[in-house]
Amino acid sequence: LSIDLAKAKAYVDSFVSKIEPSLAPGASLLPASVKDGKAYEAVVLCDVVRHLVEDEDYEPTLHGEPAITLRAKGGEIDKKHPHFVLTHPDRPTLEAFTDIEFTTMSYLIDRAPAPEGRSHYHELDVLVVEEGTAGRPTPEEIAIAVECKATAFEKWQLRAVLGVRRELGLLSEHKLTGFAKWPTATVPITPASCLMLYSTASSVVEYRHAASTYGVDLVHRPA
Amino acid sequence: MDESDYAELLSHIRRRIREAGSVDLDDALAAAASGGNRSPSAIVVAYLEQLRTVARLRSGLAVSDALLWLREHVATHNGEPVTGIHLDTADANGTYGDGTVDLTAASAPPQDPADAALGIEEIDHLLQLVRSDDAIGGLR
Repeated sequence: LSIDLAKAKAYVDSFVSKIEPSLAPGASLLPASVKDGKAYEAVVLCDVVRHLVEDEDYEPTLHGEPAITLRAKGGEIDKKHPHFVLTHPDRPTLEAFTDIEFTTMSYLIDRAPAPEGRSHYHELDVLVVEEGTAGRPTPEEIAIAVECKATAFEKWQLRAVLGVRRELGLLSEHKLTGFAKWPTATVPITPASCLMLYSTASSVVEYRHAASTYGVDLVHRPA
Repeated sequence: MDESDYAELLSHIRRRIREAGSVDLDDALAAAASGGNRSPSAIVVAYLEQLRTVARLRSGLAVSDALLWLREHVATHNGEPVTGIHLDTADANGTYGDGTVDLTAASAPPQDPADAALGIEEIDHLLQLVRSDDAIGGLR
């Protein structure tokens, strides 16, 4: 395939006129970038549930309300917020939430000082845990953790997700995750949580090798 | 197209987005896309991918597609289909107002979803042409 500059510019003129109204942030107090991020989070939540249904044979039910309601700010597991319950004929029942803080490994290693400070928990955009998990889950309680980025990929995002990985577990021999194939059957991490960074940028895949060494899956998922 | 053509194309895209009133958006997309010592053609790809992302998310199309799948495959605990996807702004200490935002709706209505969808298809087509441009080595 080939393209010339004049043809490319004509494409640009055409699509800008069509998407122009969509680009306006609107009158809401909600910053456009925050809404973009939350909307992508919803897309990824749906993608995670879809994979668990189609690849792992889970049966999903939405609990709490008939509509999914994402939280503007992260916090502890709160079952008043709508969440998915995922049942399986042979495995423990799972629950999927958004915007949940987990308790860091560094806090579990060195519990002082008390009470918990801000550095002792970090927010995850999408979280899958066994049914009945409460509060801020510990690394041992986490089945799937997902970070979502609806921006161009920048290298700090890789450094950040590697930091999350460090607070979720330690590098080890491969451990079973409890899943057959999605997100993955094993990870080189103890405790064996699956950690993914979903990005709208195709360039995210250029960093897969380094991430996979530490059991982090970088996923290109357009919005 | 060679890399100098892609530099000119990038300038053209940025000018058109700014003329459309989205100066802040262009600033953000250009700053993020140009990181990491990328070539002009790679910057064009990164910029267009994120422009597409913003158009899909702010038009409500991306979340509407997610809702469509959920309505077909997920039951609520009372057996009804999922009714919507919202953001609760009440827990942000008043910063974002107090209420819920429908994430399947366009940020700034009125917006013809068909127009937005067509524009996004055209971005996809241009991205496909750029990624497969033999003159710059094809797929990157």
